[in-house]
Amino acid sequence: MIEAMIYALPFLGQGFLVTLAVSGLVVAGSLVLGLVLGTALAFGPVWLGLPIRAFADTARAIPLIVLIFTVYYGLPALGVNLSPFWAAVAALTLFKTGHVIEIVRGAITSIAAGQMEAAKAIGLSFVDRLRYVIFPQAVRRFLPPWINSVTDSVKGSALVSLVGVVDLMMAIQQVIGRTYQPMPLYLLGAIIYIAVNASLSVTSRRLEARFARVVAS
Amino acid sequence: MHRAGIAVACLLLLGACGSSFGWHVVDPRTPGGWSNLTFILEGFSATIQVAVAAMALSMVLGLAVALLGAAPLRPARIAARIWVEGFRAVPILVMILWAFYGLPIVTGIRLEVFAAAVLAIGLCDSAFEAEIFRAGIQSVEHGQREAASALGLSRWQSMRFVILPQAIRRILPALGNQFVYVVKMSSLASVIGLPELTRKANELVVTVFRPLEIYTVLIVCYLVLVIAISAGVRWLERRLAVSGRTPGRIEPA
Repeated sequence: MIEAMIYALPFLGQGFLVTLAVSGLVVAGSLVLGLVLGTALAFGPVWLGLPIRAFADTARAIPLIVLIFTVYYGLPALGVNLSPFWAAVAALTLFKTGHVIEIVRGAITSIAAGQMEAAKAIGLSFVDRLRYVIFPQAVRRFLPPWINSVTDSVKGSALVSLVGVVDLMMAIQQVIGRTYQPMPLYLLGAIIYIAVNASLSVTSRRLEARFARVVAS
Repeated sequence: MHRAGIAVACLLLLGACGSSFGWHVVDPRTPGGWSNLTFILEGFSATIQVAVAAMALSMVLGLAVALLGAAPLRPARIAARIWVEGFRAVPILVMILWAFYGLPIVTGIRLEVFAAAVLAIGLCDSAFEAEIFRAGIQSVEHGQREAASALGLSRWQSMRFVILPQAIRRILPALGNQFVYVVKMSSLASVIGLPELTRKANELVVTVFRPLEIYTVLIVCYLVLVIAISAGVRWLERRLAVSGRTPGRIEPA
């Protein structure tokens, strides 16, 4: 059992790097898109808000696996040909952006309206109001749910194996195909996922506790 | 998510303008399109069955773990913590593959596709249910517990008759969200061959070679399902609401 694990480690290491790359790209991409769209949803006019709301609701209502298949197998019919890796990253990013939009909107609207009015009253421009008044306060409410959603991204990245990207999940299955020893490998895979996500979860708890203190004081 | 209706309209509009679409493969007016369409729609029953069974399993497990987590014994609380952190961290796809391919080798128990999917999704989801129940139980004011013990109710009785009825009303929106999540996760059971919506669509794609149209139909199917569930949950919330009080919203931690 231990031998099988040692044999598998380098393969799983490579798969793990792909998992990290996918998760990293998805987290970064969805953060940028989600911040922009979420802010637009919170402050923008109705004609801008409606399509964003429709996008966020739809992205969250579709199963991730369906989204990945649609982007990878469906989009070529419209002339968009993506490699498995980028198709998976694009699908996951769309999915995650829907969540980040909601988290951003929730964090921003939780800031009392008086803050915005006070910032207007002292003559700050819109960008300055966001930068110096709203965002520093909203980030406390944004971080804990956002880190939960990062955990979700790491778990969701396991689905990229379905379109043939050799991530941690796929690497596990390939090594099982060679060694016929599923148990130690699934175990090892589970340990790696748990290690990553448990550390994220601990970080989120710490941040939550820290910001709770700051808000209380 | 009632606004998702707009999105359905947008998708259909997109479909109408896209010249490279071949809607005839799912056109109910032609015999071929009709049979393709009914072929996908047959998947609804399996999707709903898996989702309901997995949700039931995860709610029972989640409530048990939440009660364990609220127990006075420290080891019980630690066990509940480990359960939640452990199952929350494992991808559901990994769990489904493990339940279907791994379990027979380790224990000799060979599960049917349906049972394996329900077990895997139920176990993974139980961690989230446990957190929701925990949040609900903690949200009930301390005075309620004190009043219950002043009336001479035992710890268990106060949980059963005082705390839980209030907690469940408050966590209903969160449970509804979670059910939507479970419905979406049931699509992963397609990987081990359960004939639910996604599996049916995949099978159709490899026979008619029209992925874009078929996956669009699939997306619409899930949107309809999710909108229907949201409406159902809202109806349930209204029914269980105590007059003059709106149910508080509690997000899972």
